[in-house]
Amino acid sequence: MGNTNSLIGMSVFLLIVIAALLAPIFATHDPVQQNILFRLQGPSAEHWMGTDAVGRDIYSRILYGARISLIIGLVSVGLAMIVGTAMGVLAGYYGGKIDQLVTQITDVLLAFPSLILGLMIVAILGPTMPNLIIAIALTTVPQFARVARAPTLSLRERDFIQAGRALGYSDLRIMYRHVLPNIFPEVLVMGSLWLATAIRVEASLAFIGLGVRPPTPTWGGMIRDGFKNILDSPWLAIFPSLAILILVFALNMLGDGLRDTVDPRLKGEK
Amino acid sequence: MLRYVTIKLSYAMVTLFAVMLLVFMLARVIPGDPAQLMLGDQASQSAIDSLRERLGLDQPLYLQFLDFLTGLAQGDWGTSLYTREPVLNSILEVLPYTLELTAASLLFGAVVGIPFGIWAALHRNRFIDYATRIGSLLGLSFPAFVSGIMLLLVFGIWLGWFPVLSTARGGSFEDRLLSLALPTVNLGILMAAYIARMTRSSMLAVLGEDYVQTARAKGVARHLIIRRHALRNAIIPVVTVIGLYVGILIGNSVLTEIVFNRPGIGKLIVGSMNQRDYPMLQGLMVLYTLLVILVNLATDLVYGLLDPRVKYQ
Repeated sequence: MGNTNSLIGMSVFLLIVIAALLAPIFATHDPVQQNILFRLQGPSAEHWMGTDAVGRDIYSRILYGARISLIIGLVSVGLAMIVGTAMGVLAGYYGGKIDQLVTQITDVLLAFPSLILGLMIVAILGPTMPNLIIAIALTTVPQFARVARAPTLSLRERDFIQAGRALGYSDLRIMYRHVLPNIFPEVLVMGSLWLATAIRVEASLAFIGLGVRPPTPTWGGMIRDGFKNILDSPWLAIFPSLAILILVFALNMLGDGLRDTVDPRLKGEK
Repeated sequence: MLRYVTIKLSYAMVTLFAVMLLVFMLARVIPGDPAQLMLGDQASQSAIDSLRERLGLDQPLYLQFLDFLTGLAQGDWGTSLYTREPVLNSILEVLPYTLELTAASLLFGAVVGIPFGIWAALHRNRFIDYATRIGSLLGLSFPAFVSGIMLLLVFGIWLGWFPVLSTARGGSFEDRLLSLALPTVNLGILMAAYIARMTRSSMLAVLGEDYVQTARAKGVARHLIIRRHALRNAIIPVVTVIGLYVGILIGNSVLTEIVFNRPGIGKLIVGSMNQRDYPMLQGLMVLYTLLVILVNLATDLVYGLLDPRVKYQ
């Protein structure tokens, strides 16, 4: 089941990535072009998913909106993965004071619900793409630090690491060439699961009104606008909602399946 | 046990102190002078200066931090820039609504999640197991505002079973219960998904233990094995998970409160963000931290009580 799941998740994810990359080709309309004569129209042959309150084509906006979700998600999780893994490996490898410091920092960051921390940071710094990336990365760093630290602690005592030390390898070399490859599968699994969370958080922030500024289409922002017309034109909110759900579900399937493959003992745990 | 409690308590204190420092520093990063913000653009320089002095903003940073901590401890959480009310009062006024919602959805999550988790574990690799796993994965994938909008659309607007506008304030007990239902389910979906997954894997681990095999070999009835031997041990990690995810639950309550238009901390946070009410935001951050740290502490303690082995570690 693990492999099938991750295969399905991966395929759907790749399809969405391709759709986002080729948005100019697949889109039927300009995503920011307003046309007040055609406002709030239901799905039709001309506008497959209808139009919004200022007559923009929902389908085209969803395609372009995928770009924002994917860029913010991938960059922030990538950043968090690099910083967090480095922190975790350093803490686990050296132990002592460094370990205490890193553990304390992660505990403090984990004390905040990620959505609240992201919300505060973006509220203070302002909703631009770099700030959103920083905020989401910051909430994700401790997760990677945690995942990287625990296995490093036990690897440190293993013979091949001790042998490396006896051979006079530098700490950096041991960590990079011998510790990292051993913990990488787990870090990667975390990556796909947290990518799902990052995309969810970005959409949530946009829904609250802290997304990338209009007219750039974001899924969360589209749902926010659509929610105002929920009684008479529900499709405004429904289609972008489905888009987020499908993307996040695909990533969760991918991560969940990968985890089963990496560590069969954990089958289905979370 | 006392030593275990003391250690956990001292960790919580260190974390709390660090977070307070972070909150304090964040509030100082905000562009603009707080005194200027409070008095508006028209204020004279002398008025700003005197307010700065009154607020202690002319003091060195470490003294300001000390004042900030003392104020928090004494219940002086500052004054809202918008309503001019004490921050603590505004928070305490809406806190019960958020707590009510959080507790209800936690209950929902446990009532739905635990039985499904057990059921799935007992029928490993059968239909119900797959259904539970896929279903819970789907539950984890819903951003809280997406599931909220869908629930509102289907059960509130199309079917009309539940009120669209919340009557959390006032109204009869039944009205309040009815308007609590959809938000509870919305917030509880995520919880149920987490709990089901955790119960399942924890149950699977316990069912493979020697003592369960022994009980089975002795001919103990299946329902007794499940209830007395397996479930008791399987539930321990589930409790920790519930504690860990209360933080996420509180975060998601923000989105739920917006979608269902319920009063609560979430609406307060978004409102004060739009009004750039920094003292209020600072107070809310302190509150969130306190809540999360308290829940973590409680989880650790319950864990220690449930599993006697923990406290000797």
